[in-house]
Amino acid sequence: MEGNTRAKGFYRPASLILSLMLLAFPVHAQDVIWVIANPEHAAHGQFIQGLRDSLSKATQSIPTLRLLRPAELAGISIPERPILSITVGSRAAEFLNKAKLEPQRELHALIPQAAYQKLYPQWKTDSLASTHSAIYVNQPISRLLRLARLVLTDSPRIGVLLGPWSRIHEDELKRTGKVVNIHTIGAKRQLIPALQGILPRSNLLLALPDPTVYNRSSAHAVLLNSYRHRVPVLAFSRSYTRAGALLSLYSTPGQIGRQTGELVTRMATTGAWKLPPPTHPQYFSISINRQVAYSMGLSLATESELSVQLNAGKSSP
Amino acid sequence: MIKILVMVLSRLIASSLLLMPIAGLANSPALPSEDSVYFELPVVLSATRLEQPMLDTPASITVIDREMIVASGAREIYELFRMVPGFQVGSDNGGVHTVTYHGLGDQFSRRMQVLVDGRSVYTPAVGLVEWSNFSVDLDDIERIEVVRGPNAASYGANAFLGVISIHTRHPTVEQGTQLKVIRGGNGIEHYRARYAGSAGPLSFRASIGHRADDGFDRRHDSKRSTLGNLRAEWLIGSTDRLEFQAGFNDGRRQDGFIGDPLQNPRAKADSTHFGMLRWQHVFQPEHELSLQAYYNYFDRKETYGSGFFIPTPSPVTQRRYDLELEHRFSPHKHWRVVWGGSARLDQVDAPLFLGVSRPRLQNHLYRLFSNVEWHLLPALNFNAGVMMENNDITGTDWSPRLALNYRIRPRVAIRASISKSVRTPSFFENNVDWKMPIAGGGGATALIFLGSDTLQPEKIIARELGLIASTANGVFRLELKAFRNSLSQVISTSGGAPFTFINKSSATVEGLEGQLQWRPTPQTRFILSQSNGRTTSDAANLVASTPSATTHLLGIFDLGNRYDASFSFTRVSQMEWLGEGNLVPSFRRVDLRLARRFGARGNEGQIALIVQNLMERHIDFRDQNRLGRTGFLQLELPL
Repeated sequence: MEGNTRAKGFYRPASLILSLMLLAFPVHAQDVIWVIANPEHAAHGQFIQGLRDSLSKATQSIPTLRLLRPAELAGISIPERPILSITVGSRAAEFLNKAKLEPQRELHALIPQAAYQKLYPQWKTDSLASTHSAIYVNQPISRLLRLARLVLTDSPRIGVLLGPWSRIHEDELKRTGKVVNIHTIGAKRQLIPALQGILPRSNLLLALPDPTVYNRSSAHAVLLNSYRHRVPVLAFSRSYTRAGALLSLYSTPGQIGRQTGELVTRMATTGAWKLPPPTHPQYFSISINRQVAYSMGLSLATESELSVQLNAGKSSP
Repeated sequence: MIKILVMVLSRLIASSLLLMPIAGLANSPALPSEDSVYFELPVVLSATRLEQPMLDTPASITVIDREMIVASGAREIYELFRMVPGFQVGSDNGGVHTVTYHGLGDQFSRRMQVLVDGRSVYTPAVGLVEWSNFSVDLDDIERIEVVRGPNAASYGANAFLGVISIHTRHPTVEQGTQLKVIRGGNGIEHYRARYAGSAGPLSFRASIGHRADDGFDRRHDSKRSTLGNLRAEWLIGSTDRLEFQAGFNDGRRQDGFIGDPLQNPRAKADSTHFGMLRWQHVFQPEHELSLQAYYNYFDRKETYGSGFFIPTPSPVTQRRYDLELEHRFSPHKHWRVVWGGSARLDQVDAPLFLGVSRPRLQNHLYRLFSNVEWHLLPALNFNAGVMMENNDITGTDWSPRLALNYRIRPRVAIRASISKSVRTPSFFENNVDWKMPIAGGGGATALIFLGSDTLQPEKIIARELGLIASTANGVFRLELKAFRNSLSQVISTSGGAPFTFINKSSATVEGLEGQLQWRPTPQTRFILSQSNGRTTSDAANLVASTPSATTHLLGIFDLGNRYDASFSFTRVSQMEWLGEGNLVPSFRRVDLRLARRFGARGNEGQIALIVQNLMERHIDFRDQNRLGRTGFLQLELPL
């Protein structure tokens, strides 16, 4: 909240001045990487830790990390041009995107795919290639569906509830042919009718992150209704598993930090600093709610067994 | 000029775009952030909400789910128990219904524990369940779990022949407003409105309704009542939940016969209400603590007597205060423990029945209970439970239970269990002191009933051998059990003028029963319940009270184009009800339901036609009650 206050009161004129300064006195600080994050945010803290741990293993020299809060983009006293800016989370990405600094390399980590595509509507075109990229916070649909197949004994009848943000996955879900029930809602109040529409026809509910559909206050409706229909939920966080989803597939901020660090190390090694296309998290975790599995009469392999199977089958469709 | 205007405007737009990020960041509907993935949640499906899989339950449990409730075509809650293997239902009149297991039942369901969301609703005075005085309606019910057999270790006092545990719908299961109207023959009128909504951490559901019918043909037994209930839940942080429930039912019920000196034609004015508060703290999904307190109130005003006796007002007021603590935890991954205690105060004011000299009777009941579940091996599950109860009427009683479930295949298990339970005599049985003033007797009274005040609890020892099996795809599910229940110190009336209650008889009920569910397609479901049994006893009336066979078949069909159909077939062989009941010859009953849904999917309305007892007119509970065919239309409108 402090950042917001600063943004309103101080950042606005300062950012303009800074932009002008950067244009007037371009300083090439090739040995600096900006990490734009809010270290008090638990997830950001874990990301930074994962990034640092990963970089500490590098054998060659890595540019210095310079940690900036999103709002501090405006307050930099010595204008510099980093070799790479890593934003952590949507807010940092949004600040950097809107700050209108001199074009630079941007890696947006821990960002929902939908947020990245909204910020950079041209994400599909070549104009961003090698200068802008992302490591999304959400899992690839293909990985989720592979896990669903490993868990379901019956032929899959997967139900998916999409919201305004997660509907970007609609085409991909339809293309797989494995997701039979897709329902899109536009507002929170449509959630329960939508659940009741798809649960009777599904044997698994695939939950994709979207704050309109899956938030703190909707968890009761989602989990109680699906349990009532004996439809297990495949969700996206350890917290959702603990709350009552059968299992979750997710990447911890630390895992995404590690992946970011490995990418930085690779680029530093080659010296080319060319960013690969946006990608989903490479490392992931699975958590299973054994009480829910037991109550639903489902016998699941262990988390590590499922992870191994999921990694082993990643090349198959 | 226009050119200049366009230039100025474009400059303005451009500069505002430059400034927008800052304003936008503060106010715009934000982009989804990483918090849309990493947000913290309270535990929703904690141990109390998760059901034990049938393969591992220590008792035979029959579940009546929402689909079955709707498909049954039932208009009243008591009717649902026809679907449970071994259960019989009957009506002493249009407003007094009874539910029993393998006979042994009179007009009161005295040997059954009935819980609504964990709140015990049998009345303290007679130990009966006033099925038509519930403040919850059929539409408020999500599911009913029926434990066929004693289970005091888990469900407390009165869990003697069986336990009926009714779970109402959670406020988040459906949202918005719904109106419902039922109109049909026999004066059937039922109007109901329900609203469910949520605001942040608070969710709530309220329903209110009015219902009426004319009861049996040629009987003075019409009834009408207004009922309502509220269920609200408040989530406090990620670990605590506070639930509040309240409800009422106010109405008038006719009863009695012309020419009967006690059961004179009369109207009973009943008023009931309750309030309940439950706090739950979840440490971990398998570790939780809950504390619940509730209050039940029941008040009846009626006037007894005609002809031989001077009509005498006989008000009855009953109150129950109950406080219960429950702690569930898992000390090791193979162990699950639940333990707790409760304190209860039952109060009855019934001067005509319990003696004018002692207008209020009280019973304090204290209970300690525990159940330990131990997965000895992945295929072997052991349950041991015990309840210790102390009450003012019979002192201290113990109710233990042991069960062993063994999975012979992943989806096939056998269960062996033995349990012991007691039923504490009711105030009426133990303390009745009922005198009626004689007409023209100059103040003389006749003693009708006199309790001995020395009754012992009824006892039951239940032995079961069960088989539970299902196919991997869920197409077939089977539950079978052979049972032998030995009852002793069974309380019955004795003598005449005055009558009294004594611990008179012993009885053994044994037989074979089960339920088979078949889902040949996702649109079709059949549920067959069958029970064959017999009672042997030194009391001929107990022997005659048990039907040798009961059958129920429920068929549910989704016909497509949003048409639903279902049928319910019941067959009960000859039985003779105890108390006011009579010999009921073997009968068959068929109910049909045809419905069409309409409106937006997930928030549908529907219109349904239901015909009950399509085939033959038959006796229900007593000679005077002839049950004919009834039809009614039901309209549900979401707003």
